[in-house]
Amino acid sequence: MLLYVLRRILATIPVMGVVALFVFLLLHLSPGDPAAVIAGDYATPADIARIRAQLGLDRPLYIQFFSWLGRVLTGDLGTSIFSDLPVSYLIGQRLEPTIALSVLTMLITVVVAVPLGVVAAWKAGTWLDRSIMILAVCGFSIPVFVLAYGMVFVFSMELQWLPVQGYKPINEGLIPFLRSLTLPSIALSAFLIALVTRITRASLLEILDEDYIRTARAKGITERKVLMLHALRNAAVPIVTILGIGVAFLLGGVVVTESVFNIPGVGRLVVDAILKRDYPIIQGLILAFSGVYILINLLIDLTYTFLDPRIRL
Amino acid sequence: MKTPLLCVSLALTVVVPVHAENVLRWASQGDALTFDPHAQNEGPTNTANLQVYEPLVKRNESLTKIPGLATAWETVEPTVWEFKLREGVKFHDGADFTAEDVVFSFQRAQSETSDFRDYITSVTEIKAVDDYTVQLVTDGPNPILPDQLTQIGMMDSGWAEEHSVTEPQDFANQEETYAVRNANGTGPFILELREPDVRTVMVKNPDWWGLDENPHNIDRIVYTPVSNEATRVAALLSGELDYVLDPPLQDLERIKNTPGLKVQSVNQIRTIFLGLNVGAEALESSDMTEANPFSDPRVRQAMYQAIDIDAIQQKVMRGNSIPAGIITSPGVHGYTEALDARLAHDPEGAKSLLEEAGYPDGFQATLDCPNDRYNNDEAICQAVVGMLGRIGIQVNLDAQTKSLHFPKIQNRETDFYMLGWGVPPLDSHYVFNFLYRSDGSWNATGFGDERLDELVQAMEQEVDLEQRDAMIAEAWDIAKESNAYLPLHHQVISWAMSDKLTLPIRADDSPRFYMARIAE
Repeated sequence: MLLYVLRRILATIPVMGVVALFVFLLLHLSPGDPAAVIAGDYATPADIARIRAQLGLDRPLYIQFFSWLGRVLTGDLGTSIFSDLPVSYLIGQRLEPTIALSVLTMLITVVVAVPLGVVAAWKAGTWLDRSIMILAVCGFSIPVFVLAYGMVFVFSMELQWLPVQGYKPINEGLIPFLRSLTLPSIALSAFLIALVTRITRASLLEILDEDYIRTARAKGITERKVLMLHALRNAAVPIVTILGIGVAFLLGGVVVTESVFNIPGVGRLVVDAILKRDYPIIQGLILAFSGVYILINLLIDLTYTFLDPRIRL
Repeated sequence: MKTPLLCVSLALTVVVPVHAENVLRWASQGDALTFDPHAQNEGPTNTANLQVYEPLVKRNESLTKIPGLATAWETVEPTVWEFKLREGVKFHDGADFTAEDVVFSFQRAQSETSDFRDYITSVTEIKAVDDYTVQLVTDGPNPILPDQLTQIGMMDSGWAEEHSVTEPQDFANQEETYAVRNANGTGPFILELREPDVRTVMVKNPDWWGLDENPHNIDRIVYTPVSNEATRVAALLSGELDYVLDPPLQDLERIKNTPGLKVQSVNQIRTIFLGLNVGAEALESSDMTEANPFSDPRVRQAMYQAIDIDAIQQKVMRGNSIPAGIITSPGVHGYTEALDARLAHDPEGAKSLLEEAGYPDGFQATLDCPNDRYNNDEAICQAVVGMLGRIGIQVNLDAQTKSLHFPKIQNRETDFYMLGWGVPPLDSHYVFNFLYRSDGSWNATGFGDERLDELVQAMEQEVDLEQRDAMIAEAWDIAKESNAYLPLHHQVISWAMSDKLTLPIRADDSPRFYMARIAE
């Protein structure tokens, strides 16, 4: 098991290497000049050339790449071109809102979607099942920002129950913290809820047809216990897999949600950096996002052994 | 005995209300880049810095020069400007403001890494005559030096030395300097908290020298950058914000119709225009590989007259623009209404001009346009493309983000482009210097005129104001005649705010919060 984990971790290195190369090339080969943006409206070509030289942007690409890679391996993600702040500091500062939003979203997803999927599977074929599936389709179809703005209009502007934008850190109070994250996490979780509900339902339906379920029912075990104790545990593997894939969606969705709700997290940081061509931040963040995604999927693979003893790693 | 006492104390609580803090919450699209006053010469950065730091010469809401940290100024010799400094002014940390700080600040603003160098290239020496008198020596007579100093904030030399920020923020050593997130100025507000791209908080400076003249009641300013337009407007409409600097044009009506909110508009000192590559032998981006249609003045005039700027004003700008006849706006010295008269919109006449010039079937060209810099920039370009199409000129529109668009102009990689030009010193020389001089750094038109170059040189040093004005007028005539640039319109800026807030709008789009009042 330990060997398995080590092997998996080693395997991430070439993956990250490819990601790093890809990100670097994508940025540096695409048009756009951060030096021109820094230099500002009234700059002269001489100013811009000077800034390019200072930033090291006039060196050959491969030198820039290896120089950056070398620093990353020692933990130095570079310095933001625009604010002169170290990228690792910026990421650290902006991590809390994103993690809070992501965790809250996942919590809402699991708490809402799994029971909904179970009910849908249990009452398969009835109007309850149909309505839940219709809700799921809506959740798939509505883009995050449409739902977000719709909710802002109803709950923030008309009813004035929740704030339009912004984020309150948890040390400013639990209630303001939760209030500021309510609409964003609902908007973000809609798609995931739809996804997890459907998978839960499908997975459960398959299992409810199995022989051992019939045996359990024949033994006289209550339907509730059959569902919760026997069926759900076996259905867990696909559900957890989907949650892992959901993290990828979350990483992307966080970008949109943070921009709409003006939450100062890493999602908004990457959007702002892309618009300004702040290479160090973009590179650092994409590496970080990829790393997180790989790590989470590794963790999910590890949980399989707990969920299903038949899976040996 | 107890009851009257109770009544009295109850009455007092009604009569003497607890004074709550007046907080001004505002937002705009882009945050300041730094709080180092000499590092980045850029709109939002200067706006933020100039609440905390002050220049020697300020501008009031009509953009007239008024005393700032200097109370008087005059030329004591042709190349020497003498400034008398305001006495009794203290920096936020308690240090005194003296001539030493002025000398230090200007030298700092002239260093390699300062973005404000270009304002004071003419200054060769800065001398402290005594504690409250400073002399700036220029390389030749410079009649408009005070106009060029309105964006340069004064720093305390002692504070700068203590925190090792005697040089402006330097990108080369890639280290954050203390001045990026900390400030110590003489201004009406003190920087309390700076989280770049997240939040900036300033509090009232109770010891500010200008409080008598400007008794503002803003205790705290909280600025949040909100890059998403819809979110910014929604926050204003829901009451979360008191002031938005840059509401999108399409929401102005909605804001005006919302009770409790108002919109103020003024013409900005920024004109939007199209540049034409008149100097090239042949156009890169056209199907005309043998000749350059733009080099023919008749073609340029035809294009000018094909554009229906009133339609653009009505439909694209929803009334929020002022059609222009030259590429600089009212408020800039040298502008006259006569100069601002446009050629008539005449598509038929334009077509015959094109035929006359030898292009009866028109030609192709590519128009480069930014899509996130000026008000409705891309939409204006789309309208222009349509209008030029009507006279036979097929235009491909290439609209891109500003970080891609502006380098094209600077690297002379465009034949036909949109540009907007603001004029901080409020003098025509600034326009000629960058846009019309044959080697002007932003002149991608290839236009050059010997006489105009001579005039630009001469007006830099002419101290006789009448003579200088005549030079400016002559230069404008040459410029206007050439049609190297096709003027479009002067931008109108609008500020949206709560009815409880009084804040006079400024044509330089840069609020001064000591002029604000919140109604109790």
